[in-house]
Amino acid sequence: MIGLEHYLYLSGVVFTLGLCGVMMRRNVILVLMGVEIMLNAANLALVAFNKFMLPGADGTVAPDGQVFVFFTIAVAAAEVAVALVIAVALFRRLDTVNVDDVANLRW
Amino acid sequence: MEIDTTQLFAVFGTEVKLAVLALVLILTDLFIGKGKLTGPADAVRLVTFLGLGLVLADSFTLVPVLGADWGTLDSFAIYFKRFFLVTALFIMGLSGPYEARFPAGRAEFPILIVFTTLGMCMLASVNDFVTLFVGLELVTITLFLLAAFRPQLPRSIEAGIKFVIVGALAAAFLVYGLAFVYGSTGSFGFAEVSAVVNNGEPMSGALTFGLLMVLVGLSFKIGVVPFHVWVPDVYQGAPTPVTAFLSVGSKAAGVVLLMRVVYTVLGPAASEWTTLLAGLAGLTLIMGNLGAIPQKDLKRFLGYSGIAHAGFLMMAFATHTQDSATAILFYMTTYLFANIAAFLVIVVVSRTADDAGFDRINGLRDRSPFLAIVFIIAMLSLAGVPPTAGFIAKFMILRAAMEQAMHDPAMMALVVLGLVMIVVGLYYYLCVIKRVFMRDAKDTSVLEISGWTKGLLLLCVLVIVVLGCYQAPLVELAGEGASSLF
Repeated sequence: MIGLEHYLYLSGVVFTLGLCGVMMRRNVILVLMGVEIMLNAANLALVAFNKFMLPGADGTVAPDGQVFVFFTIAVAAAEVAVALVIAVALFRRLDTVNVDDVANLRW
Repeated sequence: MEIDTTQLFAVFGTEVKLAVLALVLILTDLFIGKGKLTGPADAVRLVTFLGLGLVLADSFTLVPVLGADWGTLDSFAIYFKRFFLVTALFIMGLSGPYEARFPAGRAEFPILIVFTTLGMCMLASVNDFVTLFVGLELVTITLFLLAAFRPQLPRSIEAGIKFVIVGALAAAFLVYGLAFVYGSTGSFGFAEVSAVVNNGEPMSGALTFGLLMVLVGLSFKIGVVPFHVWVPDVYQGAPTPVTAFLSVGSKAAGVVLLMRVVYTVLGPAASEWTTLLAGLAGLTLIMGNLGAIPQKDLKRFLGYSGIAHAGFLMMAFATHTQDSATAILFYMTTYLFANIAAFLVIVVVSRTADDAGFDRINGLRDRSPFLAIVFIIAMLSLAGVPPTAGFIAKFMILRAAMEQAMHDPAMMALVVLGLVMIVVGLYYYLCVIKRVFMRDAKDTSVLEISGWTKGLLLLCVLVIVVLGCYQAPLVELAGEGASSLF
């Protein structure tokens, strides 16, 4: 039987993988993919928590967690759209999508 | 969940008006002065000033109404709605001398400012974590665009891309934390979560983890160590009006949310977190103040100064009394006027140049005595020297912390550190002021300041000095706002 903890372990692993991607990848697009993976791990945890939630006084479970996932997806889409716009501007101006090449602002 | 529309409009009235204003602006851009390069942008700017002014005037008629689980309009929310609207107006004024440098998108700039302000006003009213997330992302995503608003300038794109990555990362931490908060309390509402947190039993591991992650996500926003690394880079690279908006509006948005989370959601249970918050405050104070010393760029310097101020705000969070909440509200207002004045001076002295190196203010005394005086007063207020408003703000935070320090050695250490860091701060602010008098200017031409800019600067300086001498009404207002959190 697959229980809540299995989903949470999976979500933890996916979140960590995403974080590793953000930390280690040098390509801006792949870094953004890492962030998306982290957000999806959070979505998985939200849905799983909602699914296994104990029913309230009226015997039902409000789908708050699953509704919140829709908000997350919508917001993440907006975020990626803006991020890609800036990545395209970066590529046009500096001819690179490598984050290591974008380090002129330092003291 | 049933939502009463009348109540919805009562609570989110300001936001609805701002949304209408934003749509009107888009239509203005579309239809008025089509085909002329300067026509639509000027019309949009004018409508923005009028609209924001009207909404601000309207916000003074707001009275607290009974909120629901999706939002609340208490005196705290009203205080910050006014704060954000004033900030937006100042940023619009500040962008006046700057916006000729936008080759394209002059009309879009005010529209994005209005959308950001809409998100910020929404954040002032949050009462559950869903609204918190959506409002925060509205603010963050529009700010991504604003930070990269001069795409022909490499440093602006660099600021944009760094801000995007850090901002998206912070959002991921926040959502992951929210999932665990939701999982262990069964609700996103502040009241329900607070009830579980303060039910007398020790917090479960999942709930602690979730709240910690939420804290991390919000710490990114106000630049608390160790989540501060983006602040200097983004501040330096973004267009100057946007840097000012980031340093005042965006930081205040983070502060509003942290106040709701620490004072309302954690409530009495926050006393167990004192050591953690005090530790973060100490690290932030050290990092911000020591980092500011070797800087050579005004905007980057103000970035580090902003981190140092975040340290003082964290000290107030660690104190966790009603006095400290009052102090935060007062502190943010004084910080608003001092920072706007400083950034406006930077806009004027850096003229058409894209960087804001320290040598731009060399010999400012000879080039424009007025600007020199304004800049000095702003710096002294940021440093916390009497008789400026910054002194009173720091004093209020330290006094509130002192009361806690009597029976908490961690707070005692923090207060001592805070006092030492004020002295360090004095050193680097005075180093900057020294340049105004002692160094010879590279370019000795007289600076021309438009009447509008002069008026804005004069207003900021007046408020800083008047609040330094007579602050009772604002303290009372701040106290009223703070009391609704408890």
